[in-house]
Parts: sequence; structure tokens; C-alpha cells
Amino acid sequence: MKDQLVEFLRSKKDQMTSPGTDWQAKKKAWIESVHGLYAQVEEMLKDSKESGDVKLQRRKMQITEDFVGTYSIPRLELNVGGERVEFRPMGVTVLGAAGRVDVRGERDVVTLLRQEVGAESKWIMILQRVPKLRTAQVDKETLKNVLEQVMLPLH
Amino acid sequence: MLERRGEPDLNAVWLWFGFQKELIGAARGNFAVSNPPYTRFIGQTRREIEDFFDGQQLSWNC
Repeated sequence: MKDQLVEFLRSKKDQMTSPGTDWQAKKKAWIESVHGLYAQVEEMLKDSKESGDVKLQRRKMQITEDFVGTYSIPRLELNVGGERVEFRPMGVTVLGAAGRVDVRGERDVVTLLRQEVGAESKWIMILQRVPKLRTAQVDKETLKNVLEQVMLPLH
Repeated sequence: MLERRGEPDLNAVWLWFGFQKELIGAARGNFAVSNPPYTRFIGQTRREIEDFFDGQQLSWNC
């Protein structure tokens, strides 16, 4: 008689690796999209970086998600004076979006969501969840609003 | 109404099943995106949602 535990685990593994959602492709697109977001932020902060007002640094971190497994992805650190703001990827398997990055400061956290539009993806910021979901495209103006919200207030 | 039309083979049945599954998934996604209070879960990971509901159960049990 075959070992039923071995058979069960083999069946589960086969089921997870069977064709369906291509999780590796999803993961690749997600990581590329995060790099794209950081490039967008770095471009928006180019002048501040050149003047030395902001220091930007990408650092590696690891995420473990169901179906996708454990993988390495960069986070982006902004240093303004002694204050730090971090763009931290939270995962690709999230509800109602194709990925999420949290912007964490000393005061608050703001959520950025990745949305897939055909083959392209775009980033939006959550302004309000309830009573009605309100979002805005990530651009220079919303980035300023994000930083104002998450960082300690100016004296 | 339930009479067989054409000669559906197993592949055609699976195709139809897959199509229905996608429709249900899309409807659920739209529901979650557009209907409060479900909008509170947009962008949340499975673990965060589970933690939220576990917390609700704990508060009921107390």
C-alpha cells in the first residue's frame, strides 16, 4: 500500500504547480512595477536630491506570500534631515489591486496600490476608504501630500 | 431548456466552467471595490483580513 501522506503531499504540490495563474510572471511584473514606482519617485525628487535636502537609498528586503513564495524586493528609504520615510512593498496578492506599497513615516502610513490597466500598470494613492473609496494618481502633487501626511508636521 | 445543443465535449464544458468562474471572480472584485464597508479591505493581504476577522471573533467571545 502506498504511503498516503506522501501521496497527499505530492498531489498538493502537483496542484499548486499545475498550469493556471502564472505566479512567477505575476511576481516578475510586480517587482518591475515597484522599480518603476521608485524611479518615478526618484525623478520627482531629483532637484531635492541634488540640493542635498533628501537622501534616497534602495535596500533589499524579503517578502513571503501564499502561492508566490519568498522573494527579494527593494524598499526605498528617504532621509530628510533626521527623519526617515520608507516605501515598503507589502505584496502582490492583495484584495482588489495588483500590489501594494506602504509609505511609512514617523507620523502615519499611506497606502499606494498598483492597478493593472491592460498590459500596463499604474500607481494610485488611497485618500479615503470609507464611506466611499477615494483615490488619486501618484504624481508630484500627491507625493507632496503623501509626505506631508506621513512626516512630522512643520513647526 | 436543458436539451443538449451541439456536441459539447469535456473541453467545451471546462471552458464554460472557467468562463463562469472568471465572471464570478470579476463580480466579487467589483463588489469589494465599490461597496462600503468592503472598501476598507482594498489592498489588504489575506493575513491582514484574517487578523481583522479573528479580532472580531475575539471581541464577540469576550
